[in-house]
Amino acid sequence: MRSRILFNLTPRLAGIFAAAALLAACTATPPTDPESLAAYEEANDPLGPTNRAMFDFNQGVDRALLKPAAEGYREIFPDSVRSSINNLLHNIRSPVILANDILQGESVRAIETITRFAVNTVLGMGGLFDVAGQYGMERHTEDFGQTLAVWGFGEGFYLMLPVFGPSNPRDTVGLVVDSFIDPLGYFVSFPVTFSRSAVEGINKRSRALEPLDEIERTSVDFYATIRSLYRQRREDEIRNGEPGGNVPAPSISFEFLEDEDTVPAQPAAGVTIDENARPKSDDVSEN
Amino acid sequence: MQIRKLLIAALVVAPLTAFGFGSVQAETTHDGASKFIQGFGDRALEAIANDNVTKEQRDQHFRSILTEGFDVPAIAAFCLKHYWRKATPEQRKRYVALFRDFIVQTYSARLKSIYNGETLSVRQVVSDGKNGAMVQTEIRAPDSGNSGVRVDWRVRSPNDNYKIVDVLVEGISMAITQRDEFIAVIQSKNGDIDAFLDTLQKKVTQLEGSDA
Repeated sequence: MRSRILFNLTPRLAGIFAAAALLAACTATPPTDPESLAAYEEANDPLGPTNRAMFDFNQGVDRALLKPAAEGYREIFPDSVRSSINNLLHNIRSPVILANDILQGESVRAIETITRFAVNTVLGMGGLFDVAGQYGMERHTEDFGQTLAVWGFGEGFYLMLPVFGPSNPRDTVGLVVDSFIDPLGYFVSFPVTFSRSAVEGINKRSRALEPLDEIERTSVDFYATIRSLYRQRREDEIRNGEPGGNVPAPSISFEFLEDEDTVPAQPAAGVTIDENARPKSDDVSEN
Repeated sequence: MQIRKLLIAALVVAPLTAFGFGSVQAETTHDGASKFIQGFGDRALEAIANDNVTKEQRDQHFRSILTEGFDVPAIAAFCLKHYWRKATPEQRKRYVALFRDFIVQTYSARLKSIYNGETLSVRQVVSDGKNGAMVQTEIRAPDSGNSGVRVDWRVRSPNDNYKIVDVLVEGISMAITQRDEFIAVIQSKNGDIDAFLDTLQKKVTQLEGSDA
């Protein structure tokens, strides 16, 4: 089995890196002034134009296939059935989650995954019902992209994958490795695993119909919003939702504004808030 | 008095021991931040729950909630990053007013569309820099069973007057998301702040005209 993994993995990884190198050929030109350059580097998106083109392609696929499928799925099946399918999909993922719990040295979470799998498989009719969750043992996810992050690998640049959507080299490798960790692939034929992935995609999309529509409707730059959301979401997942884990919690500084409050006569130090710009309570937008 | 003190102590200590970090002494000083968010959250959720209003009334109500609880000019300045310093006073004034309208239009509809009878409960409060605290809460729907939504409120209290400067939903900062988007737009306009403001104005007009 191990040789099969290595045998299969090598050409796939090579393919990914070749594709990445190809993409790198058409990158955006970084700005020259230092502050704009800093903002450019913070966006972490040197493949910007290519990624945006791929994002448009994905949105086309979404509009033509995924979204209608997700809407139909929601129309056909009642809440209870969809909830059970969601539970089942999660239960089937347990071996991958367990493997990554262990690889990250998370013993408590590993035991949780085993217990949840046992309880839900036996008492929850093969995983259709989240019995363990009802007893307070909440589900969590893990993947090899997160494991790599815990091991110290950086995310690399932002990468929009066809169909799979937002990613980066680290998470792309994680995606491939997870597909080899998953024991399901060794027991059932490809059409079965493919169907599972398709149902997973439709299930996930059906759970995000309204929020994604709302974000798209209210965004000035939908692509940039999704990029920011993806990167922050991944960081939170890597920290397992705890502040101050492996990666520092997102922190924003308003110190410059506080300095302004106390030292109003020194606009030279950092950014200042102009009093004209601070709307008074009865000013500008209060009608 | 004794009993009340004991109750407060128990309420503060219980979540701490459950989560296993933070020092008790530091937490008790954030009692005010916790109360502020609990009170503010309850009122905001109540306002969203009110169905019998027009879009204009809802937006108006959301605007007063926003002004009451949030330091909008500080958030607006943060979202513009170094372009805030580059902007002229006129541009800043126009931007902060537009920013406020944009946030009202965006979140008034977003919150309405996902609201389902949720209630807010404070999990714990941790220190966050100078004059700051992070109030960690859970927002839970009545029939959601096992999982609520993790919402963290970053507050500042320069003069014991609490103001929210960021909201993190499942670890995702709304301020950072907004900043990343705005910066991307400004960069696509080659750093032209007026062009960005025109785009923002167009979006606000579009959102104000919609039914959602």
